[in-house]
Amino acid sequence: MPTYSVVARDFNSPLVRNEIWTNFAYLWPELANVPQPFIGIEAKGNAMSYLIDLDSWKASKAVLQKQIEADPAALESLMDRSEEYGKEMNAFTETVWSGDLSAWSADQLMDAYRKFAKLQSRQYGIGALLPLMDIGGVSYLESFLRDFLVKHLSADEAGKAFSVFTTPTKNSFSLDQEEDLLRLAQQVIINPVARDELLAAHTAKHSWVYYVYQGPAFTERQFGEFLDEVLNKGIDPEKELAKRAQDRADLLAEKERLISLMQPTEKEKGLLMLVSEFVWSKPRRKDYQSKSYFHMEAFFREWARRTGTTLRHARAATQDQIRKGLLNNAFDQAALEKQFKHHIVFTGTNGVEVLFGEEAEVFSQQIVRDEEGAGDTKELIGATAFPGKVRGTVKIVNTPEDIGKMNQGDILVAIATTPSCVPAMKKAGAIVSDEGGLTCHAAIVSRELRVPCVVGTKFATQVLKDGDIVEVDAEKGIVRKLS
Amino acid sequence: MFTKPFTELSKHDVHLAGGKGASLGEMTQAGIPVPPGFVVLRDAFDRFLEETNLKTEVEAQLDKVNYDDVASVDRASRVLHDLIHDARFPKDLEVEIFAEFEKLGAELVAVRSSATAEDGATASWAGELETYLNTTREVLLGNVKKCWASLFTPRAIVYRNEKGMRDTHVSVAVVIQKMVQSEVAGVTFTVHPVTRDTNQMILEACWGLGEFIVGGVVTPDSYIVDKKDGTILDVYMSDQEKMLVRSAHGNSEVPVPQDIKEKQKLDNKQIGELAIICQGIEKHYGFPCDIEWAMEAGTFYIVQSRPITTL
Repeated sequence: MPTYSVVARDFNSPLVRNEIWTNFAYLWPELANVPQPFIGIEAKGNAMSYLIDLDSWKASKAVLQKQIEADPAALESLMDRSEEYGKEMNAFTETVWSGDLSAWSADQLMDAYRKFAKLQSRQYGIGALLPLMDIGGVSYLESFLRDFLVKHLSADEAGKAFSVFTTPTKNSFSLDQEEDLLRLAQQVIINPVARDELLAAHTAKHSWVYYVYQGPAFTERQFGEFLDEVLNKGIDPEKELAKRAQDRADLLAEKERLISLMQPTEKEKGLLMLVSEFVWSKPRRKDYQSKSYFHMEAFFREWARRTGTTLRHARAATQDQIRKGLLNNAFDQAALEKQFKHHIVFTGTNGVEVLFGEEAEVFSQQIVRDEEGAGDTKELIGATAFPGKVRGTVKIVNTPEDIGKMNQGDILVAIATTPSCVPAMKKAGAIVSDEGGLTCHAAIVSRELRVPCVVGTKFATQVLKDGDIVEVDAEKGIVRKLS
Repeated sequence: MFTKPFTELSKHDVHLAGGKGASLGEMTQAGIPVPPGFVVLRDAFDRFLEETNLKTEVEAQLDKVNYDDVASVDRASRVLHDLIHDARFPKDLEVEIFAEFEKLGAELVAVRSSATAEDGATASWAGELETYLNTTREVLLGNVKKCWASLFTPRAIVYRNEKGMRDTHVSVAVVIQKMVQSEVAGVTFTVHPVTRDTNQMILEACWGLGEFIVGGVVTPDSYIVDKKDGTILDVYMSDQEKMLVRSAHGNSEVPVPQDIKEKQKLDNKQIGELAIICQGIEKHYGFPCDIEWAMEAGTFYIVQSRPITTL
């Protein structure tokens, strides 16, 4: 009998996604010759927790670890596959997004949904293999990197080198958006009249980059605000773009230099390059997923219209209910509302099971939750994702609804950041998160934005509240409450 | 003819029917479902003054005022109010007003001053929107007179003197409109005021009269609709304990009946219908609107529509 423990939390993850995610467990045997773990998700409204049966997870990890130790290239080929699968999925969901769904039959729609769900589950399957190696709060790749650098370099140099190897040299889609925005700014400076037209084109291309699971898609108005920020700050787009290109070139050169200095073995070199690849490919994989969720919004809207319900309720339906809704052109919205308020998805013996109401309550009681509290501490310890030392006012930002709280220079504190909070992150003087890891979203974006960042503090959102004054020492990975 | 129904008024009739009257006429003719009504035209007040020989009285009272003495102004105002109150309503005017009232088929009406821009300035000193709600046939004429009398509040008298308008002829139209006994009422912002996304509209609804939402007394349901394709993006159901209902003796607060408490105040079909009406209003005016609406026996009525200036 599996015992489910809460391992992480997230927000705004609808039932449709939770079902799709849980399903990946069944794909591991065929995807990677790794045994099926027992996993699940509990969600209450917009808040959710990931559930894992730690014994089965450890067993799966042991199998994967053997594979990687025998051949580190195995990990690399995994990342390549996620790239290929991601593009394939996007190409498919694009046909749904651009189709005239009102003319599709119930069967056509259901087939499309099933295919989307399968492809999305596969992405989760590939994507979750790497974090499998991170169990016990220790990142496999990260700890290898730290150990290796400390062995070959001085403490100071090791810190800098760590940054070099964990900064991606290829753009994420949201960075692509930022660079496109700079080019747009260039054109608007020369020709202000073209602003609206250019913004429309920019939005058509990039509206999905912050979508995550349920959006909403970014609007022209919001990109317009980004544009105004660039223009008001007096940034010279041409210089900025040149600088970014130079930074990338410098980074690559520095990597080369460090490698020739440290003289790694073939295997070590493989792992070093893997780290760099990995910090890019994980967010990339999520970006592909985000784009497909964005495309499928068209499907959920069509379902909502046919059943006389709403978009939110469409996303609170199980796959089976989606099918029923299409067949009957109706669905009980009140039932979906109950599901939205509380559901548990987990790996049953014959596929994913979804529980609501009374059954969910009962199941919920046997979930193991880490009751470790923060106590009275005024100091939080985490890992440095990007160095720097900053003081400021805390704002807790966990969902897009919290974005309005942020003022320029505030310290953004989150359980875990997500792309949908990037507008707030751009204003942050520093970023602090409970959850952590080399490749968590906060770490990646803080490096893109060059904003001091401490991740993995575990308790920041419990200890701190809106308005607290803190000092973030991202050189040492310490956050001190001053007020 | 001293009255005109909304169906015969348009925005070109401000000089006849005042701003409010003309606007309600305009909306009616554009197919916007305002509660039906009619306007007692500006000319009617002139007729009233003539018939009752009050014209000279008014002039005499105003001449006597010592504008440096507040008490003097107050006195003139009181006298004029009393004179208007006591004067007999001209018979032909009375007949016409009651005939139009019968045609409305309403038990209760709202009686409102409807000023023009020029006397809008005056009207603002007069307590701007003199409004008498829940008016029955019994007190109808009295309330019409009260709207007329609002031309002679102390502030209005002083204001006109300051602006050198002492001798100007003043008048005001009066709007008489059916009051909707709403089962559900609310407010629509045709552009979501928080996200400011022009593709999204937010509708708020409560049981009973809309005053409870406007006054912030209850938390309403809220519904978000996509303006491009009509999809309902989300609905939020609130807990409403008490509601306001209308009666001739004034509005009263009652508990929300148990059998509707758990229900969405507007079902998804009604949300769609209302969204279309509101989008029509926005299109008609060419700018985002804050719209007060009410639903009676399944029919939607638009009570008021204002431009949203804070976007």
